[in-house]
Amino acid sequence: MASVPTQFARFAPARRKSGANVRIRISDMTAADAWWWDVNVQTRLVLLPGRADRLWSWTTMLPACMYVQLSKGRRCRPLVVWAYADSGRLVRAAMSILIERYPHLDVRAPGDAYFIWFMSTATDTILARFGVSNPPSLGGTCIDNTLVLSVNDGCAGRLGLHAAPAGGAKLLNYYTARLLQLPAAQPLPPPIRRRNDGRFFYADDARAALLLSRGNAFR
Amino acid sequence: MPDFEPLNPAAPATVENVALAVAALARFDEAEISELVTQGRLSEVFPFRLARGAPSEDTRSDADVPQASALPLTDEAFAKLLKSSMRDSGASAARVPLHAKQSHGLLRGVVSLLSRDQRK
Repeated sequence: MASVPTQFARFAPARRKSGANVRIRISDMTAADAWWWDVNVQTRLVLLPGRADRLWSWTTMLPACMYVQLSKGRRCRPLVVWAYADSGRLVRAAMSILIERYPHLDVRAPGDAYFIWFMSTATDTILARFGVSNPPSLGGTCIDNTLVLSVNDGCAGRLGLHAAPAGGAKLLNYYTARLLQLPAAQPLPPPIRRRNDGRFFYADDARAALLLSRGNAFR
Repeated sequence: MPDFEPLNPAAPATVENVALAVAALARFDEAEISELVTQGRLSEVFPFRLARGAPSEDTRSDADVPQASALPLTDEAFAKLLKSSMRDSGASAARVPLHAKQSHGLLRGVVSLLSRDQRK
């Protein structure tokens, strides 16, 4: 474990204004958050073709994920990323469910990692409805949150995720630009039975260290 | 049992039914569960959702949104997280039937069994 814990980011790059940073806040997800997201965000995401998260339901996912991982001897860490509206008040902007101490996807370097099981970010249009005129970069923040928890839990920042096929090439390209892509020919660790479809991504120790160092300016 | 709403009228949200649903879901690996969720079919295996409390405000003040700890949660902190993620704080405690209170004790027992040192 790091001698001095790494902190969550308090700022994130603005999505639209290059070079500008905006404040954010990270909280643990509650049932109220899940309901708010389903009512106010999910009802709009369902209208967007090509989004892997368009049919998600957090009010079902949250209890199901928490309980099923407990049954497997693991814990989930559900998080919310909040953006600041022009009023100075907070608005929910991204939701994620991580699995703690999940087998590292690269079987050549066995160990524990954190797995980003679900991640959903609100669009600029949705955030604007709630007064956020300068939205933060959210996907990178969710990845950084996972890196932070991983390194503070003795997993050296290692993380893994699967880019849902429903997200298409766009989702694949997003993660290719940030993480390492597991070769399709490489086997997956035992908990995962499905075949490797070439859409698994991970951060090894070195990539995690690089990403964390880039994120330090925002902590 | 934390307040759940059944999504299938044939499967009320009893402790037994929720436990059976969790066991059924646990037969899938994480990637398979992701696929179920993406297809909108999670409720076919886990036909419940959180009971709804009072609507949450669209915006919150800093004081109302505690910053999450960047450290691994202690068992006590995780138990609190589990409780807050299962029940809307606006839900009335008086609506919780007796069998639900018994299941809260069961839940606390499960969490204590899965202390950090004992987890996989």
